Amino acid sequence: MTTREVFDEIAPGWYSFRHHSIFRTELEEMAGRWRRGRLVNVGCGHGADFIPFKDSFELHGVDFSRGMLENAVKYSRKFRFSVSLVAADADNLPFLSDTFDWAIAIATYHHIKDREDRLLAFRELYRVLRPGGEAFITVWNRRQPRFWLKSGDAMVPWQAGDRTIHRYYHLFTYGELKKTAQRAGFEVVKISPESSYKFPFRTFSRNICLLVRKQKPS
Amino acid sequence: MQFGLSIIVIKWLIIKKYNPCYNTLMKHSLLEILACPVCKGPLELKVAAEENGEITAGSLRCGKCGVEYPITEGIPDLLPPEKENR
Repeated sequence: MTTREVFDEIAPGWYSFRHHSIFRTELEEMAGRWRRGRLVNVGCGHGADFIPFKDSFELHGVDFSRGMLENAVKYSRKFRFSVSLVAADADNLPFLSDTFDWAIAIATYHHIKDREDRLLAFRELYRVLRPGGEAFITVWNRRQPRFWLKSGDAMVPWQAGDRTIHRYYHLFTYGELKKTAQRAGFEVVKISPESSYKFPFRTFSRNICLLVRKQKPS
Repeated sequence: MQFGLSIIVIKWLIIKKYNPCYNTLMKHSLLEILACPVCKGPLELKVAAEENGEITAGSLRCGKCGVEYPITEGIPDLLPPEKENR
């Protein structure tokens, strides 16, 4: 099964399981910081992460799973917002360069298998952002206790009816995520754990949240 | 009776003002920012079916790559051919 087929299979259950974004606080902060403009959501799934942006941004959603996008149509009608949806790959974004003011990619890049492909995805995101534009990215952290006995890649089970499907995850470290973004050309504005993580040191957080900027040419 | 009727009319006006149509299907304006996923060149739009300004079926063609990408149920499918089985 390809990763895409896996997400098509997961889509119906995912719609109810993640009906609301788990990054609401972080995304609301971004909506306040960015205020308005054209925003792309890479790996949007059914689009729960659009909610904090729905009233003052022009929304674009990209996902490679058709199943997820069909649910996004349903979701946007339920929560009353307009969004433009495109089925596409994070490594091959079908947009002109310098198109978007802002971007979010929530739990997307850890599903890309190849190291080079992950870098390519960051480069594509960099390309479609306008100079001065920012992106908010989250991925799973390799050092979270759940994966202490595992290596950098994990197959995480998902129960779809009576079937168990395995999703691929590449687990990032703080350093690796920062380096990948920098290699793609980004300036790192902030790298931190999710807001609900309360320990004094960030090492074991479940997620890594990254805010990056495409610098204006000097 | 008349009072009740006017309330209904006012309610209807409010709903009309604050409940615009929510669009999720492809619009013509999207073409201004779309590019071929592979060569980033321009795409040529062919409309097969349209409803209220939304393109529900058709295709997007990249002349340079010679690839035609379908638009089905109002969502363009711009996955590069070799990435279909990722």
